[in-house]
Amino acid sequence: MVNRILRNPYVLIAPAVILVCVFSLYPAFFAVRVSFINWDTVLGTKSFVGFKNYMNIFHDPVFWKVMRNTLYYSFFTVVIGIVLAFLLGIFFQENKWVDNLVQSIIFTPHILSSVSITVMWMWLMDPGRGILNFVLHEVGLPTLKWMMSPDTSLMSIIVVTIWKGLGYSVMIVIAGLQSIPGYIYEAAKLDNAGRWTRLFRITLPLLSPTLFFMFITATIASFSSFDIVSLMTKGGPENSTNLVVYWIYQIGFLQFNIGKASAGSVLFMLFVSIVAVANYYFFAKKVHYQ
Amino acid sequence: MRYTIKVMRVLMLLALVLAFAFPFAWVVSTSLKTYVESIRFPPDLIPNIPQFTNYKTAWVHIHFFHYAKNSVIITLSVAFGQLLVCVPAAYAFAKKKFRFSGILFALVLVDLVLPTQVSFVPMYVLVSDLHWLDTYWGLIVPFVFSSFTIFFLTQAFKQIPDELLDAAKLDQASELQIITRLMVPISKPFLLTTILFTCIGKWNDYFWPLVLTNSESVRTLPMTVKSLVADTRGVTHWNEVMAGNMMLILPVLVLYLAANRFIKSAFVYGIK
Repeated sequence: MVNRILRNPYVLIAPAVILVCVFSLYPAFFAVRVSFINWDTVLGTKSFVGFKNYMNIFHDPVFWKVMRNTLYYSFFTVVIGIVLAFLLGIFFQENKWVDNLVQSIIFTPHILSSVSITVMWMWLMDPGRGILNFVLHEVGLPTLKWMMSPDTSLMSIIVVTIWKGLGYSVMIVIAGLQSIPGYIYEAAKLDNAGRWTRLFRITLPLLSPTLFFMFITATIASFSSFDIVSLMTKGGPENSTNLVVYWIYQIGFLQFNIGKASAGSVLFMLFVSIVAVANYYFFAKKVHYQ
Repeated sequence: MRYTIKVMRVLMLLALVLAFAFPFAWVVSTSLKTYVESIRFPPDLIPNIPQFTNYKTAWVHIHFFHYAKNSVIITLSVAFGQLLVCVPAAYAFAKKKFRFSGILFALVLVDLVLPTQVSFVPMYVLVSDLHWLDTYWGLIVPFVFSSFTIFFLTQAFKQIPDELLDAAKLDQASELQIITRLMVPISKPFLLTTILFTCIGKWNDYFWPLVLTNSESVRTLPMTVKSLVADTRGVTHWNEVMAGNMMLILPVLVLYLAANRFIKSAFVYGIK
């Protein structure tokens, strides 16, 4: 009996499909619906308001600041992250003990809780007693206020984000490098191709699918950043580190404006899909697949 | 040329050790200092007399046992639930032919591009309608489904040759036996990998418990460690914060060191 039931593939996939519908697709549609509603969670009243929530967002100066911050943050974390990962991957790709040690050390932040990481960095970047300012002071440079000043706060969380994600990116680069067949390099050597030629004519083109993949996932991940902002700065000072997910969180959970927060979520979903599709069309032509 | 590369490698190594190992060393060092030592300027690298009492204080302050228990319950339940939900689904997608399998698989994968951060507002409303706020249910059930786990396991199951399944069927093996005695044991490394993935991710999760919980009853370890920073005494005792932080780091770190190569290759394999 049990066997007969289990032989039906639809029974096997049913729990998964039901759960994805309930906890992933339904919320997405629900967000679209709620984005047209003014929902007072305190009084419990709902009224249809059309595009008013969206208009509110577009007239909100904080929104534009948040968008600018998010683009700025994404650009730097993604670009610097990938360039550094590429360099480190090239230099530490072997399986010798030094390479393994490096890989392990820089991978560690990736598996730790963002709470551990941010608590650590808040202490390192403490404007008064932090070791970073101590070092700056010792070498004769002006000390920084790090997260406490709007001038340096976004840079501070960019540093922490890159630091946390670097090891993961390096591992992806190394996996990509190892999938390039050795005979291609042997052939190039026979043709007297130098190091630089091999780097730019073989490694880079053959690694481009990997780099492309990293670019897309890193971009979406950076748009979705929440933990570091929430833990280190709460979007401050003066909204200088407020990023889109934290901003939606503020509207929905600190200002209790579910309608406006949902409209924000919908815009964010659109934005992420546009970026993913645009990336795809823009890069697909320039990427070499083996 | 070769010499320059060697020199560059050494320089990079030093820079990396400084940037990655030193912060951790500093956490350990601070966690063993007295309060006065921790705020001394210029700082001492090594504490004068290691203060293991910081750990005792932090243990009491963060109610370690209560929150660690919550973290363990949530982590293990999610991991176990994922096995129950995702293994059969991945088996069907990998080894069965049925109508709409392509569309349904795509549907399952939609979740990959819709991270929790994208739709947490309606998720919150949904969980609240189910009366699951501040309960284990709300922290567990939405996550026993994972499109990533299904995708990963489907890839693994596809590598098992169909002949093995046919042989098992000739021997009158039931579907349940095929799953538990054949698919699961053969793909054990992949299963362990996904479990590890899930466990580490859940143990570290900060976002969803923050959104979903208001009371202390089901909150998790990361949240209580964070609360040490905003101390009720008005000053941050960094030495105790770091001791608490160490207690949050250590379980994952021990797991990582024990399965170092395994986890690293898993993380890399997982995304490919």
